[in-house]
Amino acid sequence: MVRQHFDNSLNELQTSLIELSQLVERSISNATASLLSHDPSLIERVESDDDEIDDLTDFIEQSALNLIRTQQPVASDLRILMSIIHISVELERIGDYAEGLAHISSYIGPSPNIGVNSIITQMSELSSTMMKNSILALVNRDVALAQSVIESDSELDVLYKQNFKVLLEGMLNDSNAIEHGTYLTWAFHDFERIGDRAENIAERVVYLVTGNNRDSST
Amino acid sequence: MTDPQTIIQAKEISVHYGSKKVLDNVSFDIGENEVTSIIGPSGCGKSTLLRSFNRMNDLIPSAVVSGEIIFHGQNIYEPHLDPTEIRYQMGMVFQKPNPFPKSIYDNIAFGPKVAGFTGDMDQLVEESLQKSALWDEVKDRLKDSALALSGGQQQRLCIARALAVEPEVILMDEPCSALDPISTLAIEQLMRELKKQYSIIIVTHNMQQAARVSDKTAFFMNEGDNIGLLIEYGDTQKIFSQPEHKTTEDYITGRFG
Repeated sequence: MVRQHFDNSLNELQTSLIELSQLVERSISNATASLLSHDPSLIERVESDDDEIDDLTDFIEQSALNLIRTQQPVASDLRILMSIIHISVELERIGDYAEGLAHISSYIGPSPNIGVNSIITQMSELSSTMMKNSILALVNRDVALAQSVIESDSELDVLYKQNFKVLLEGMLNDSNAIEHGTYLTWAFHDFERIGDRAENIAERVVYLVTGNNRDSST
Repeated sequence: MTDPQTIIQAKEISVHYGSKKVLDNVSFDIGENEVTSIIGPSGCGKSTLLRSFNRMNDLIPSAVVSGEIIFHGQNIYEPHLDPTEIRYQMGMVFQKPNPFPKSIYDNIAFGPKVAGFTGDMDQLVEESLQKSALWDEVKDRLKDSALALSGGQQQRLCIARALAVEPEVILMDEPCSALDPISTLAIEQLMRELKKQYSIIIVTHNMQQAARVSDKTAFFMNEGDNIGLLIEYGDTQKIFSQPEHKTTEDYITGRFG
C-alpha cells in the first residue's frame, strides 16, 4: 500500500485526539466534583490536567502541520487534518472551561450548600455526554450521532435558562445566598459553553463526512 | 460567477494506435480564458488527448482519431482543413524545452516568417517575449543562442514562440516537469497572466500544480481493459476538495497501488 505511512500517521493523530478528549472528560468530572465537594485536591488535579491538555493540543497541531507539510493532502485527507486541528482547539477550550469551574469552586469554598447540587450534576452530565458523543461521532464518522449532539445543545440551553431562574429565585429569597449564587451562574454558563463547543465539534464531523460546511437545517 | 464561453468541444473522441485503443469516447467542453488541467496516471491517454486538440496525432502514422473537436463551430478534423493552420491557432509547449539551435530572436521570428508575417518583426518578437515574461532577461542578448538560456528560460522562450503566431489556445504537455521549483512558479504565474488572453490546456502529473493553476480539471483513468476513460470533469476546487467519484478521490490522495 503506497500510503501506509500516511494512513498510520493519520490514525496516530486520531488516537491522540481521543486521548485529549479523555483528559478533558476527566477534567469536567473532577471540576464538577470539586463544585459539589470543595475538595482542594480535585482543584489541583484539574489545574495539572490542564497543562497536560495544552501540551497534547500543541502536539496534535504540530503533528498535523507536519503531515500537511510533507504529504500535501487533498480532498478527504485535507478535511480530516483540518478537522483534527479544529477539534483539538475546541477540546482545549473545553478544558479551560473545566479549569474555570474548578476555580469557581475555590472561590466559593466550603460555604453552605444552597441546594442546587442536582442541577450542577445534571448540566455537567449533559455537557460532558455531548462532548464524548461528538468525539465518538468523529471516530465512527457517524453523522446521525453528530446531529443528535447538535440537537442536544438546545436541551442544554433550556436547562441553562431554567436553572439560572432557580438560582435567581434562591438569591431573591435569601440574601446570604447571593455570593454563592452569583459564582454558580458563572459555573452554569461554563457548562453551557462546553455544550456549544461540543456542538462545534459535531458540526465539524458533519463537514468531515459530508463535505458540507454547516447543516442547513440548523 | 458565470460559466465561461466554450472555446473547444471534444465530442466522442476515441483514439486508436493501430488496434490498440488509448482514448475511449471522451466528450467535454473547454472554457475560453480558462486553464484546464488534464490529470491521470501514465498511459491513460492524457497526451494523446492533448495532441488530438491540434491534430498532432496526424503525425503518428498508426493513430486513428474518431469523433469531433469543435473549434469556432467547426470540426477541426474536416478533411479540407489545413492542420498547420490549426496548429498556429493551438500552439503546443512540450515537457522538455525544445528551442531551435538558433538565436533567441530567430526562435520567435521563425514561425511568423513561415506563416507569411509581413509586419514589424522586431515589435512582434518583443511583444511575444514580454507576454512570456522573458523580455527583461534577454532584451540585451537577442542574438545569443537560445541554447545558452537556462531550462526555465528556454521553456518561456518556447511559450513566446507559440505566442508569436497569435494562437487562441495553448496546449502544454507537462511544461514544468523538467524545471526547478522557482522556474515552475514562474511558468505558473505566467499561465495566470496568459489566460486573460488565451485558453490553456495543461497535462500535468503534479497534482498540486493542477490544484494551483487550473480552473477546471479533467481526470482520466484506465479501468481494467477500458483504456483512456474520462472519469470526472469539473471545477478544480471541487475535484480537489470533494470529488464526485471514488476513483478520483483515490487517485488524488494516492490510494492506488
